[in-house]
Amino acid sequence: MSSLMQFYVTELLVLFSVNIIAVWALDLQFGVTGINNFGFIIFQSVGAYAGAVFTLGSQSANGGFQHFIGGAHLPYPWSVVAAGIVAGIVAIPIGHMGISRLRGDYQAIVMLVLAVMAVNIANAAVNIVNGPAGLSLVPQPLVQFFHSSLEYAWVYVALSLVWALLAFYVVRGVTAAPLGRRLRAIRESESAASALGINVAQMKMRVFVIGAMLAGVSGAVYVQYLGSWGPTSWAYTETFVFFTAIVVGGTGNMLGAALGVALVPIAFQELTRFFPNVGYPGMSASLQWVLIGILMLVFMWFRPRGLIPERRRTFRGGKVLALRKAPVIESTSAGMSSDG
Amino acid sequence: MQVAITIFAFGILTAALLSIGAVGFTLQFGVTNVLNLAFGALMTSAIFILYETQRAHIPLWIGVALAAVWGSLSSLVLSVGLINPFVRRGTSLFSMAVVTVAAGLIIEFSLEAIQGPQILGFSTQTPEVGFLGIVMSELQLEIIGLAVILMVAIHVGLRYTRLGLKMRATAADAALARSCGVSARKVRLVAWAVSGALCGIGGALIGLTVGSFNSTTGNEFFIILVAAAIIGGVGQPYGAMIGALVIGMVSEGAAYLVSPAYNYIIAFGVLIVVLLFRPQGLFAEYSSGRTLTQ
Repeated sequence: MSSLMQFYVTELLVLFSVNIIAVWALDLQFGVTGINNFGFIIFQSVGAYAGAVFTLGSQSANGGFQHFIGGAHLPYPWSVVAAGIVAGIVAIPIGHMGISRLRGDYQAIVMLVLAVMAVNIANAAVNIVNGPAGLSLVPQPLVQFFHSSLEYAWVYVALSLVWALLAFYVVRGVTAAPLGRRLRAIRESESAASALGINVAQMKMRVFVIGAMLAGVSGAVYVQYLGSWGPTSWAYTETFVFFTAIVVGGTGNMLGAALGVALVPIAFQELTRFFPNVGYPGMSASLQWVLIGILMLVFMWFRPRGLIPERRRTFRGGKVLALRKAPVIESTSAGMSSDG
Repeated sequence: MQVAITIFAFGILTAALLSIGAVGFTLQFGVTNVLNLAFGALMTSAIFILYETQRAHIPLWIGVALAAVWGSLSSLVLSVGLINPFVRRGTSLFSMAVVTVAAGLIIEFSLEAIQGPQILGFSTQTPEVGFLGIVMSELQLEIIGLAVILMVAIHVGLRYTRLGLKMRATAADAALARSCGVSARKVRLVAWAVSGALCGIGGALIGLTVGSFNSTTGNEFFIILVAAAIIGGVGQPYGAMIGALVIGMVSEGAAYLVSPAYNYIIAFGVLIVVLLFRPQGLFAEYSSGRTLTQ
């Protein structure tokens, strides 16, 4: 492989690891527990900002051209861990507002509003994370130990794959029985789950915070690779790339999510990059988003459970329990119905 | 005192702009039970319609009417062609959110692909009127007037007509309404059409007032009017009107007293307080609070 090709491959592999951490985290919330987190990107972004701030050192570094709070020089793995923790802490009040008490679709719209609002705040408050300009010159971790940049690129691939592996064990640990069984019960029917003695609000909150921490880790791994992060890096639409990956790959199972990542953010976006440029510059980028929307609708209609459907979980007595479709309650209309 | 009057006047203007879309959105959700996240993209498309009519030198208010017709038709197409088939198939409420988001992405980025990234603008010049020490343009006063007319029309329509009664019945309990001889299907179609028209007018007027727009303008304002609808209690038309007033006053107040950069952020602060202490919204009845919050 030529070194140029190697750089390209390493970039794809880092992208793959970053996206897979995020998608596994979102699938834990959306696919397994049924939390409609349309503001997922907030937590990846919080992690990215934190991962940057914890390596940039004090504000006065680099001539003090960027303003942010809480600068530090944390040694390598700790900067990423700390970013995950910060994202988890941010998730607590947000989860309390948006997740633990609201109905599914209402949850979705509240999270969407919060995601847009978070970008507005990052833009308006220039002293928190340097406003519209964003943070740049984020140092690459451990770079001083390697001489060639190609060598370092492969080292970074290895590092990000280690983080992805870690995310795999965390998500698998959470989704394994009996905790995972409780989460799936909540997804299938919240009222049935709470009737069985499951504390629905508390479980959802836990999953929300764990997912946010993983999202934070993915953001930190990403920013330390990219070197910069700003309000344009996390438009609320970015969340839907992750959602499309889950819907295409298959909800509620890690293999499906992995396939979705390989197909949507990686293969799909890389392939469309090679399409001939039509119209003005940027037109193919908007057409790409149109295609993502179409992809989502096509899969929702023809293969709502994705390319790799979640395994049917059967009861030892032989009776099929899980995975019926969520009931449509014809009579509940919006606001004013009296049955709860 | 002068500051208070200025804040009040422009707060009313913002509220008027937001209330049209917010009432449309909340009515749609109340009657059809679908949270339509493509609403913002449809608002943008209405701005484009108004822009095209202005380029063709069609009188402004006919252009707004055309935007309303467009909003109504596209919203009907969206419901009949996309949303209803998914609902009939039994797609869960929360998957419906994903479906409407996908539809919104398709509309928004198709507009961007057609129009390109440049920002378009309206060049509407109307004489200015000064009163009580403040200056507003005639257009702004007309917009406030139109919003008031629309709100009164919705109030009268919901309270005093048979159709309004059927709509409220369907919103309250579709099964019960059906067993009383209300065709919930027809009522829902009417709701899609009416709310679509409000979406078209609201979008077009927002574009006209802001002056410049691109393919994301509708969604930017959609978020704010959703905030207004949530403050009032989603599904509650009167709540949406009050929510729009709250957001209008708070954001204009913040713009004058704190900084224009913070106007909507502080208005969102109100939303957060509401979500923390009364997640079902200020004006929701207790029962509706139970369906929205578990």
